[in-house]
Amino acid sequence: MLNGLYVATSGLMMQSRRVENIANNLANVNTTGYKKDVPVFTEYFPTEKEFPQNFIRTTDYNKAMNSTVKMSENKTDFSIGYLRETGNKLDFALTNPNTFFTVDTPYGIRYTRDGSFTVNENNELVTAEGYPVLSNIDDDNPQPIVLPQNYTVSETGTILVDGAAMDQLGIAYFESTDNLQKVGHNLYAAVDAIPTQAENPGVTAGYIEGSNVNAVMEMVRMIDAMRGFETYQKVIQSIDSINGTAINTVGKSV
Amino acid sequence: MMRTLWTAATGMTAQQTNVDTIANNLSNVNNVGFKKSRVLFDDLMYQEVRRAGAITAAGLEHPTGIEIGLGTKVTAIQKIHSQGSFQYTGNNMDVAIEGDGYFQIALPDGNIAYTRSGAFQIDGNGNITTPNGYLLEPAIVVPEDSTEISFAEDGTVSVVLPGDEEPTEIGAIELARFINPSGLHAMGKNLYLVTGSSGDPQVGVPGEDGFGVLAQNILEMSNVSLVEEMVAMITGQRAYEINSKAVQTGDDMLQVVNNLKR
Repeated sequence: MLNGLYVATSGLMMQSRRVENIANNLANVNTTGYKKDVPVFTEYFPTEKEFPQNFIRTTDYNKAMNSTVKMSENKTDFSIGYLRETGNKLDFALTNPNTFFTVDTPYGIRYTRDGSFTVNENNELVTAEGYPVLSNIDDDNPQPIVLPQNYTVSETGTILVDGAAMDQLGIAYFESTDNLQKVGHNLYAAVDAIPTQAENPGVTAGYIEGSNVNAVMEMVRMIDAMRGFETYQKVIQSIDSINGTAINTVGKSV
Repeated sequence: MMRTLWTAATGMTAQQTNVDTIANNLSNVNNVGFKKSRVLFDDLMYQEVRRAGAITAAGLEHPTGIEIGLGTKVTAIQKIHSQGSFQYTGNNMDVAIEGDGYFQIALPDGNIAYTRSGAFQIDGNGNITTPNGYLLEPAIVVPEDSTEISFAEDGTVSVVLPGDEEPTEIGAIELARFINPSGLHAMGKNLYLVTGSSGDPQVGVPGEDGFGVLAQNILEMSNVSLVEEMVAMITGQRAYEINSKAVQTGDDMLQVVNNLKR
């Protein structure tokens, strides 16, 4: 009898996870280069392989009764955000969704889509947090980029002075973005993946990439999750009233 | 669920700062030499429910982890030091810088401040000052009986003295330049101060070594674009609203939980 309660509770938890996730997407609706997260849920189904000793869980009846829902991953949607013209020559956007600026942080090399850069007192190109943007990443020892006078930046990320290549923006290309993990500050860490210098990143100077959160879609998902949450509440209340009837009414002397 | 409330609250706080900054830009839209600011956001840290690469019960690796984001924050409010629009005023004490550089102003405490506002005046002692009465650095004193002050492109200031036909040079304006103007500290009154991240000032003659040239009878207005600010204000307000809806939803869900037990 109580099984149903736990199944419904897992549903409550699922919807609550969804809303937490949507709240984060909405909080970052104006964050430069932010990529939205989409939670993925799967049915949790104890298998014989996982619990070989557990006889009860291997019977068909209990398998069905014990299946709950769980969050299996929080997938980041790397589709491109809207490009906004700023006119600031230190702003860069990337039009290839698999490419990232390479940034040197105290914790190691990180990757970002946020191209709203500035310069520090050494004339090095840095992020808003002050982390230097690195040069060509195929080099063994990528260096911070020192901006020359009167430069232009080509679509491939080459820094040109009077048509001559002076330096290169270190733009990482990932065959698959699945290995990138968000670490906050608009940065990603690469887990078990080594990027290559991007050949065709589509660098657009004077633009920044906005977040790819679609406020309308998130709002609809939030309403959906909220109503789902209410539904599970009703399920729990129904189960509880059935239990109440069983305990207090059945077997009552007439 | 409480996470939803806090996450959405970070969004509201960040957007509030955004709109505050826009309001300041708009209120300075007619301010001579004003440089607009913009707010940059970051996503906050992520709460890791399950690490990517964790081993599943079946012996496989989870390709992606479960990370729940905790909201947003303001990383930087960046001054955009682009050139403002020029306005012809016809006032011969108005000077604009076409290109890079800042006028140097001596503060009463002995420090030097920097400004793009070239609305100069002459005080009772003949000193060239800002509208706030701060002296131009290096100081230039205009003789009492002189007429027709003129500012040349290269910073030379000259006046015509009574009885003379040729103008007399009385001083020269020097400009300062910074490697990272966004790192300057805005102290108000259109003045900026040096910080560690702006780099030291490089002083030079207008028109040389990449410094801008001076233009008399012209003022540099603010670089605030009304259309851009209005659009930023609309998106900021809507982002604030949508985050408040997320707070409401979190609250409604808590209410649902409270109603579980009848």
